[in-house]
Amino acid sequence: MKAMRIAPLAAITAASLLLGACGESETAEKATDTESSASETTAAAKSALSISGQWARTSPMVASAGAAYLTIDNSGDTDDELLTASVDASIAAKVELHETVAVEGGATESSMMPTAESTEAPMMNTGATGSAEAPMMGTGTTGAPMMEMRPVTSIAAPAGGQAILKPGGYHIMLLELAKPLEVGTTIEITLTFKEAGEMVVSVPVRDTAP
Amino acid sequence: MKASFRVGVASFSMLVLLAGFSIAGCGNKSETANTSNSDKPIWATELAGISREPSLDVSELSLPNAVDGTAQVFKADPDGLLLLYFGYTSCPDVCPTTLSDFRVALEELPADEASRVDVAMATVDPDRDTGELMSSYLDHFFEADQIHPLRTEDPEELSRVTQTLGVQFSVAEHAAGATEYDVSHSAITYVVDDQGLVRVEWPFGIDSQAMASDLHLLLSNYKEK
Repeated sequence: MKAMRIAPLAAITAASLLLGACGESETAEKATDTESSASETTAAAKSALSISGQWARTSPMVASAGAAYLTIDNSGDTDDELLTASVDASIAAKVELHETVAVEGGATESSMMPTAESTEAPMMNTGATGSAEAPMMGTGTTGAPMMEMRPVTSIAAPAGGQAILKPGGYHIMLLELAKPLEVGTTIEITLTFKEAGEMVVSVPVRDTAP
Repeated sequence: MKASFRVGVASFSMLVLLAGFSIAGCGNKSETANTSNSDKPIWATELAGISREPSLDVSELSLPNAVDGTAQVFKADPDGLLLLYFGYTSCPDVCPTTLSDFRVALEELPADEASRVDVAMATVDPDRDTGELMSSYLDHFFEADQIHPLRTEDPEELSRVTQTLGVQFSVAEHAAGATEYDVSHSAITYVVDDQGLVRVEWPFGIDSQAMASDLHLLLSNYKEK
């Protein structure tokens, strides 16, 4: 009876891993032991999270830190929050959730203020192909805004909404890399959500965003 | 389930395309002519980045090369362009994003144009960034003969340059030898021509296509003179 229930779960996991190799996947539930994966599946179903577009940037040989990005879709009706991310010590010693924000030039040391109310970090001229009217331009006298990284305590994935982790915004920061992140390899990142619990995502290492 | 499967397939084929694209471009730092695709970019006729009027003249400015200490004047080679960026190598998000966008942009250009573009990165974090570190960092993204790692230990020398350009940065106080501390910096790229004029500035987040288009436009203008 139990085996019957495990089989489809394993198939789903296998399928998502397969897709994961291509950088686009449903979330792969942690299936290390059947007991916990069963309960996690229920939890995940409650807030109905799915992860897509995950990738980690290749890191130069000398870099001690790396970054990973992904999109969390919450199709459920319960708000959720990404609380932590972790990787095996063979990848990096520490993992933190960070946000890059543009702060006005000349601002004094801003306090570490975790802000996670919006799903997208305020960013200058995001994705725009740029124009003379770009808000970034400013007056040219006060200097350009500075990009500043801040650790955040959580990243909100509101019910029916999404959280986008992308360059220049929220990101998963891998600190004290054990070795460079090389293109073509895949790293596993365990995401811990307030409601959905743990999810393991297979993250391909790439030079540029998918 | 059905719906998400279809999404998966669609994205999959897109990814295959992208993968093919990036294999053609990314892994390969050598010069490849852009002759393979029929749908080559239609180049824009106006600059996508920001231009000041009149152009800022930085030809009098320079910073030492991080490896050999020779002064790198802020001026491109004749008929070339110099991309000038201020960052630091412990930067995991913004700097590698910008540098890899440069690379993608250069790969968009015909080889004879791409070879006329050099990249200079000046560190705002000289305590952690040694010359060797900066060279290997830049070498990850570009050809060795294309990169100019710049570094000074003299804060006044650095601020003379950053103040002229309007670059802002702040490095958190740290003990000597500390490896983890915060650095903030404005992530603008200055595209400098062979006269030392800043022809266009790219704010963070401008896409690589727009960069390529600006480079093409500026490089083409040389020919017309």
